[in-house]
Amino acid sequence: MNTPTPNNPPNAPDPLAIALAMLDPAPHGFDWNALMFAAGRASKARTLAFWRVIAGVCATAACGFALAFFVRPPVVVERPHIVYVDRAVPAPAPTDVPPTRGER
Amino acid sequence: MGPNQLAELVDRCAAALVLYARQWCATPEDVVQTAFLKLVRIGTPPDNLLPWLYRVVRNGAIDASRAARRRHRYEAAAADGAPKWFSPSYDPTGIDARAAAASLADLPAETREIIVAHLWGGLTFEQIAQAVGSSAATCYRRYAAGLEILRQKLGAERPAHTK
Repeated sequence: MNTPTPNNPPNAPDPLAIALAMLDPAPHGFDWNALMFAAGRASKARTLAFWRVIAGVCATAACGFALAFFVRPPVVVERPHIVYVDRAVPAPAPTDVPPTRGER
Repeated sequence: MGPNQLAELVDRCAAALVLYARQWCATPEDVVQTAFLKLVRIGTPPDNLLPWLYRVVRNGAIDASRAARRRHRYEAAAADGAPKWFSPSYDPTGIDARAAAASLADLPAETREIIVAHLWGGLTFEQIAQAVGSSAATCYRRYAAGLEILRQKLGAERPAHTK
């Protein structure tokens, strides 16, 4: 007598199994279009996450640079600056000049 | 996996997967949709695609049933309002769909899942063994035992064994 095993199925097909298999499972009932849309979005989830991370890093860097720019202490630089001022110089007063030897 | 491949897979397997998940939970459609989305997210489909899908659906359905129990939803109340397992059968010589569903619901879970996966999912016993984490021989034994129980419940004839 042959013992049925997965590699040695029964000699005759089981009519009950055939009859049961002819029953159609109830339709799945979920929104096919919604599933396809969700699948399309899910297929790009990693790419989307990558660009979100990049955008977040860039935004953080921009905020950091802006903060550093606005809160930095003022730098004082001393630089000589020459200013020319016009000033009236009084004329010198005349003085008595002693005669020279040649004139005596 | 491209959209055409996914669409073909959904059209081919979704109904059988929903039937498979209905054994455990009242929301099999959600479980099956989640399984398809998980398949899309992994990028490259696994080599043993069907057993993988059935395993994911199985785990998801069991988790859903546990979550439902934790939320104090009684499965009997959910089953009373649950959709039918099979489309109505208009073949007078065939098996009554409701009787078949009732008989299947009475089977032990580990036996019923093998019968559903083999008869309506089209999985081989090796594939079923991969999905449920058992051996092909054990799966076949449970399948044969389950068919015998169904035969008694539905009053079907035994197959003719030829030498």
